Amino acid sequence: MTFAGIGARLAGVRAVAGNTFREAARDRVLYLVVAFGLLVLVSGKVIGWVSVNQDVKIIRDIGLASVSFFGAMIALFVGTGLIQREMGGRTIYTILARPVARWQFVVGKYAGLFGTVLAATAGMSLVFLVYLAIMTHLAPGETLDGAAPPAALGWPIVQALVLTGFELMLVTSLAVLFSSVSTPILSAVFTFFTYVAGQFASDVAWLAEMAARGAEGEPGSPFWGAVLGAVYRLMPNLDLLNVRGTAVHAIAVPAGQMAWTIVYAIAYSALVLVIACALFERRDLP
Amino acid sequence: MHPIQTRDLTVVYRPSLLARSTTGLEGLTLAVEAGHVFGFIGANGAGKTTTIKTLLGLTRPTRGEAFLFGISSRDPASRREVGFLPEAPYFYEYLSGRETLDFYGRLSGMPRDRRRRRADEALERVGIAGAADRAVRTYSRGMRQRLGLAQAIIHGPRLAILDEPMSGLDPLGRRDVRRLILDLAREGVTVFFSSHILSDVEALCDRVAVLSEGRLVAEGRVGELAAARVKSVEVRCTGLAREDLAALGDGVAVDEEALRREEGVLTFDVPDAQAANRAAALVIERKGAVLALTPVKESLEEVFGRLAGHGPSGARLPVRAGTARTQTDAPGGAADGGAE
Repeated sequence: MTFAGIGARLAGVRAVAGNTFREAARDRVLYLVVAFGLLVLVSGKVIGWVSVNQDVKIIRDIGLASVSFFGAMIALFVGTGLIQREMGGRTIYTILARPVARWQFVVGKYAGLFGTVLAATAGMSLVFLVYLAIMTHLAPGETLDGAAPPAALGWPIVQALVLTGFELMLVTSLAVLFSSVSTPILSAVFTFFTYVAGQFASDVAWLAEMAARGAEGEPGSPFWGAVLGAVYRLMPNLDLLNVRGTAVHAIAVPAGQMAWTIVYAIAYSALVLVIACALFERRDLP
Repeated sequence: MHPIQTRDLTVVYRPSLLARSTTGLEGLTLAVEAGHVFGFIGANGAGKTTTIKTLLGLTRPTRGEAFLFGISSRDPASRREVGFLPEAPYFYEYLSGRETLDFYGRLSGMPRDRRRRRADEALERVGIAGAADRAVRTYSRGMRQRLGLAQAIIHGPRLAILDEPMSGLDPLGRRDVRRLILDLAREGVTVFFSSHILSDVEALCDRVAVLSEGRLVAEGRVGELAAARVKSVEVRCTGLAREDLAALGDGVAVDEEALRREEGVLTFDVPDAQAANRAAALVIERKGAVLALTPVKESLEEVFGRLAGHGPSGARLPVRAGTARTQTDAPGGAADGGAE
């Protein structure tokens, strides 16, 4: 394929992505979720009041979790109806009647949605970091072991936020996959459960091991071990992208592990998108 | 190379594994010549929209193939020089008319300068330049239809596929769209359009295809289709009285209005040429004068009504050169009840 050919294909993706971003940015649900996220983020202080000397830690904890959870909710609420809305509203006819391949449409939708999720979470992260800096300055507190509290904007926090971005990249791809083959409600349900299940991927791995090996003298079940093992390998391992627990304690993830985690998130998202494109390719439009 | 060509195009719908399959289109073989205005008519559910969606790759054929400019409709490149107006087009409500055209121009890979210039031209051409910067949500149905036409032509396509282009337009709007279609044809653009307003098809199209229950039942020049069958002969004469017509047998109908209008002149229809000969002989016998013998041919609407209901599968009407067009210009589409 020539550079001009690649450019033409990217032009279609860019046009769809730009329009999706514009459409999502006008969605009131987006602002509702962001507002709620900010509210929860700020409420960390309230919970901090009831925890002795733990204000800043609680703010960190709740703040990082809020960015992840509400970012995923944006992908869920805004993203799961994106493709169906195009089909229901019949705007898809005039788009695909252009020299635009279906995969370009799906990838464009994904890029536009991920751009929206990223912009919203970047905003929330900024508010979180500023808030954290202010609270650390005002009430530095101390850790239970009497050591000095970690710096507010340390590398571990940045790592956690960056990996949250990649976690949302993966969740957004799942939202687009389900949206391309299912109704908005069903795809929202699927996306939500996959997001929640993904947070417990390590527990599924542990369960698979326990099922295969057996516990406390009980014989193991190779069948259930294999089934759970397969589930673990297939499900998105969002647990891997969740370093928020260690970041709260100012423990950084090794650079190599972070790089492999990012590669995993990109590869998994790409695979999900390829599946979404393949399924959408076969779909007849109503 | 034909702008549109289909071979044995068949679409069978099966909504789910347990549902019964329905045939949307069966064995459609069609070729549209470059530069023609081609009309596509058929009753609701006849398969017109299915054909258009298959041509544009929106629906996969179960069997057969469709080509646009020789490229398979499965390949997005086949749509590079195609403009499409869907029936009752929908657009993003929050975009303005100009932004909408810019979006479609981008999808067609047009550079920014050309998009801007062509958007202004297209909006001007369809008559909504004054509303270019208003949000589409404020547009009336007719304005949306015009915007749909503008997006179909912004990139200067060589083929325009228009699904019910007159739908939702007032008489002035219909006139403007007719002019636009004729202008496009003059510019060498091939226009393929479906319409339930048969007078529009008759006035605009070089050729027409009639679909019924997913099958092609007739295809040919409009004049050939419409004038292929003489349904009666009109006799205009002097020297005869109404009572004399009994001698001509059954099937004679007097034009009462003409009788009131022209004193001493009798105008009546006889069923066929033999009856017309007998009528002429009778007039001569009564020392009268035959003023006119006019074959009354089927209008496109009547052809459509006959074929859509009972036409044989895939049959082509006989092609005869030099046949005249019949005059039917029923405003608002006289076949509204039966056609899509």
